[in-house]
Amino acid sequence: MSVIEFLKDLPSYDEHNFTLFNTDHGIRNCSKRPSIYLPTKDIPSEQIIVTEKTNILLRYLHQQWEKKNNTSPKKRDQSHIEQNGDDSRPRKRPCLTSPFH
Amino acid sequence: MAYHYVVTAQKPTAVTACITGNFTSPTDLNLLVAKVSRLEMYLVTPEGLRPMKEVGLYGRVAKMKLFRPPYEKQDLVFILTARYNAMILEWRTGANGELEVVTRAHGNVADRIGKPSENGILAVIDPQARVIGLRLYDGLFKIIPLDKDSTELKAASLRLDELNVYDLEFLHGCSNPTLILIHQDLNGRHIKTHEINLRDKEFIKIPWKQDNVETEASVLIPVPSPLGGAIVIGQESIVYHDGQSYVAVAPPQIKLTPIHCYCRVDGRGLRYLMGDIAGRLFMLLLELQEKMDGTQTVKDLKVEFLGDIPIPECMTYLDNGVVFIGSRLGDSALVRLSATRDEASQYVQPMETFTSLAPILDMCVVDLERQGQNQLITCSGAFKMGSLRIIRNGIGIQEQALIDLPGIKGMWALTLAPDSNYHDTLVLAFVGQTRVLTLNGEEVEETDIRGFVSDRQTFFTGNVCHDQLIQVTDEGVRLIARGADGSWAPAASWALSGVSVVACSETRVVAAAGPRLYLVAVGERALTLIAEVCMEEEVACLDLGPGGDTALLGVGLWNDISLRVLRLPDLRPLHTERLCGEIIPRSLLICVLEGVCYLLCALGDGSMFYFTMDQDTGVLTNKKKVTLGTQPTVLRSFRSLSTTNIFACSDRPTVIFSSNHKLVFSNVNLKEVTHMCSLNAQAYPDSLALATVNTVTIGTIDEIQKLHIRTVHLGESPRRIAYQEASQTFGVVTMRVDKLDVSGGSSALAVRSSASTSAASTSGAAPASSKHAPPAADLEVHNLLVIDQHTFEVLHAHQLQASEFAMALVSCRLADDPNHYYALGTAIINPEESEPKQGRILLFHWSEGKLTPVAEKEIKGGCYTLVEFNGKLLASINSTVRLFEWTSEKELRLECSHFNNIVALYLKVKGDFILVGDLMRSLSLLQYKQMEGSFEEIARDYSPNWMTAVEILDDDTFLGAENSFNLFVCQKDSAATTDEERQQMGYMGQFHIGDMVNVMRRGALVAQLADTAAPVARPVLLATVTGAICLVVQLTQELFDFLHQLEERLTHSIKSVGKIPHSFWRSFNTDVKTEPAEGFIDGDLIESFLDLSREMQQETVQGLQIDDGEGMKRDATVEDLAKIVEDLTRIH
Repeated sequence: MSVIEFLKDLPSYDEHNFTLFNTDHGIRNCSKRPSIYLPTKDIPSEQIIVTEKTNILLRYLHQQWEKKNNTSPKKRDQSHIEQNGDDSRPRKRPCLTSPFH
Repeated sequence: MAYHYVVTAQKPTAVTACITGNFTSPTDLNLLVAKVSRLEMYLVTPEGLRPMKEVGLYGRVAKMKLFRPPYEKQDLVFILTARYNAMILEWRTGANGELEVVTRAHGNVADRIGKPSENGILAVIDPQARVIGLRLYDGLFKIIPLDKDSTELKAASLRLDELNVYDLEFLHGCSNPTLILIHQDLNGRHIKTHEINLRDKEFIKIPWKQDNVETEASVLIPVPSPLGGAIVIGQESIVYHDGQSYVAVAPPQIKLTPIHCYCRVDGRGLRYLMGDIAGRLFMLLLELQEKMDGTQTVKDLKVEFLGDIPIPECMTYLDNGVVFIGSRLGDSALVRLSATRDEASQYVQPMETFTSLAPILDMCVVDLERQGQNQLITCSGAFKMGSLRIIRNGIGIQEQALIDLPGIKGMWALTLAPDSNYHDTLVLAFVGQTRVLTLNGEEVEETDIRGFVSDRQTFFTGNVCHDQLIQVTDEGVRLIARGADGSWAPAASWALSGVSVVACSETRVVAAAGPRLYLVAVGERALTLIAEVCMEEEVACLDLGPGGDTALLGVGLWNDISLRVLRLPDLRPLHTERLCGEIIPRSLLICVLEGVCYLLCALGDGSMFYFTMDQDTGVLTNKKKVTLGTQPTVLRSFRSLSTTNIFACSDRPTVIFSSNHKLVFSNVNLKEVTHMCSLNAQAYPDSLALATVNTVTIGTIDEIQKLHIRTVHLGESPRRIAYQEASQTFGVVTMRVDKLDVSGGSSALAVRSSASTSAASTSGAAPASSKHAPPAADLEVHNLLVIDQHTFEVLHAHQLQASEFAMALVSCRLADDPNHYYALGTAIINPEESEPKQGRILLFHWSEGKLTPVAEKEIKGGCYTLVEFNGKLLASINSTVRLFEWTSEKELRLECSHFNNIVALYLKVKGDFILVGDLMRSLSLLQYKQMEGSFEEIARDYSPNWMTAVEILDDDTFLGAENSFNLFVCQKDSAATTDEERQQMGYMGQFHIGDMVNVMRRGALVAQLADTAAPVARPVLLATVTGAICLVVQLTQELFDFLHQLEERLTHSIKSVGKIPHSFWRSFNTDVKTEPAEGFIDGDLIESFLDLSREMQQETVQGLQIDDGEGMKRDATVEDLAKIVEDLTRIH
């Protein structure tokens, strides 16, 4: 396969881009620097990224405990009713990659 | 106590990440480039890349990724810094049409515990923008679900069974976000996928995996839908895998060097560009076949070598076959892919380069031109991109032509040809005569213009209205017009004896004789006196401002040393400004730069006052004074690249230009300029004519910039540099990588022509394979190059033995020996040893074009540093510091040693003191006892700092840089009462500089004498891995306290992009401790005061107290601060 195959129809977003790029004087050296953006206006963030503080092991144990409670006989009826009321919700499956497997 | 100021003279130049997207509007195509802690936004246009905005972050960009949630019209950027600050940024056009950067989300995602991954931070974003995934710590995978409606993005860690992850990505086209990763265990490397349940924040299943892919597989490329799956790139093979089937190829082209980075070319994901660590560009093409059910699958993978590019760190496809290549090891570039080959049979054509100094391994500070102005010569770049960079503060004039003509008193360019836009004539004034030169192409001939007085000194000449010429001499004003036949002839004259100074516009002439000023209108073949006034004193200098018939006139007077501003046409006085002192004003200029009107007045002693002038009232404000030279200065304005600038002709020629609405003074690489004028001739477009004592130089001026960088390409890695003034040479240690001849077995071949292989003469070992080295394909060959200081031509290359590495280089004069020697310290490397056990110190003498080995000393270890010390040679050899004396038999003899280090990497000396920087035991100070001939350890910093550079600031104060990008200052306490206290160095300052400092040298880039009104002392230059150059200076306590207050206020005025607090960024941070910054002022923050709007400056100044010079405090004004800060900007 020739290189033409590789390089034909290279993607174009705007066919004019780079058409007026002048390389007559050899390779250009870019010395223009963008102006500096100095924000002085306080624009509050829409969202804050927070890290879950719960220890990963504790979270796992909590999840297990909840699952166990959910499947215990006392709660079974209750959850059974709920399950019946909402058929579309899939049953929770045990995690395949849990650390204790 | 010690007080320091640290400021960046050259920002980092290494490109660490780049992405293409629609950032600034839904239709703009942008390139976003990350340079360590700075982001540069460019717009793709038909003319090329147009810079838009640069944004500084308070953190080092570890990962930068683009994503677009389904509800957004343009792309957003996710950035994670090295200190785990995450942010989502959006560029948008604000109310005033200015681009602004909005932090959409931010937060710190660090965990209190966890082992940071040795393979570094990995960050990926789901193709449908449902979740961001981070691998920060071994065994954990952090997810940030991108929930649009919540004000909190809750990051959660998932347990990841795979500990050693090399790369990970999200797969395309999966109903749940699905991760693919390459990991390694005892059996080899494997790929594995994980499906994530975002609601329960857990991995739910492993859709597929493939054990035992290639052992060096390190790059994953997810393939977009509908194909899906991923490409795995290894050292020798490339595999496409989609869970059901896979295609593997082993293209011979990629076998030589590992593929390092890639970018996707087309949206469907059929073509990818790949760059390897040798700087070669490949294209990977997925060949498809149609299955029975009509869907397409990958049939084959094809790889083609396209050509050579800079060694890439990252790359991104822009548009129409143009690709941006970002590099950490040299200049980044814009290249074009084309199906037609050029002469060098490459399918890649370079279009534009982006200068980069990174990485700077060593540098020296020298005053090459003996103008009192230092230059920096850096060892920059690596491998094929290795170079020396000559960095000078100022502007360069590229000489085009030279005419020998002594005694020039004035110079003007004229256009004589009708309807021409070019100058074709140069008029030169001498005492008692005037000469006219015609520029005929590149030729210069002397000629006459009819009507032009040639036996008098011309004070002014120029083209004026109605296609006429004007000439002013001491006899008066003459007007010369074109006759019907096109020839020139005198048209009018206006006599006035004793003209001393003159200013002229298109339509007006103002001439002064003694104290009398005359305003003459220039008409068609007519000169008419409009006004005449008498000043209190004789006129020393004058200039006309813009504004035609009602322009402002600036006048400088003798005796009372004052400046007057008058208004045309009636020469009404508007403003008087008395200059203090007794020096007469000699040259005056009114000039509008960036919309601000300035009046500048140079005095007879080389100093200059400048003011901003109100164009309506003529009032002068913001008086400032600078010293430009030591001789009377002549000010001239000129146009360069469509901006107006000012040239100050003196013994230290200076170009004055406006940047961000402040005046910047930049030295020019010429010794002395007496006069100058702009020249735009056909053969010399956009040029300057500069008169020196004996010559006229026609030249072009560099684009205005503060630091001027010249490149000398070496084509191999420079490691150390030393300057030897006596022989007018530089010694440079370089390393090149030769390929072992596979067929012959033993001999190595140079891969390409480079500095050491193309030197004028060579000596030393012949290329041979090493005894110790394992049978590797590459061989590192070390050379000592001798390079001419003027031409930078490689005069000589001395090659070391195979497996001998050059580590240290110094130029020295030892004992009573009058010769200057290059001392080279080496290590003999045996891969089986944990540290070198053998090495040599070699002494060479360069004279009369010959490099003579003078002495050789075997040492038991690697020689990391060599320093001249009291006429002896001081070396750090593995864990020891040793002093060698130079005997009369021309031998190095060990005098004394000091053993108390892990690896003594760096040495600096002052008097009898030696500062040692250790690999991991911070700083220690030794004293050499001359009488006993021994070392004594006087003080030590007991913190576990892994040092990267050290410097002595003064007798008691020491500067260190360590490998978590921090600076610190230690002080020895000689006055302490107990020995124990004296032994211990105290911390006097610590600061996160955010970059790895490789080298520190005492010195500055600007001459000390003149423009530095700022009270700073003991400058030290720092150069970093990312190509930044910084300056550290000492401050007085008063200035420190004052700047500290300003710094504090600025942290409130300037809002941080990404909302990382300034105090967090500058806090001293290592993996064992984080402590607030102290003892340092962040000069970059201080300097940004000048870029603030006037209102913000006012707000920042509010309540700040300043010493009025007599010990009393008063409220500081914006002007006070601007002056202080502007002075500080001139120290670099």
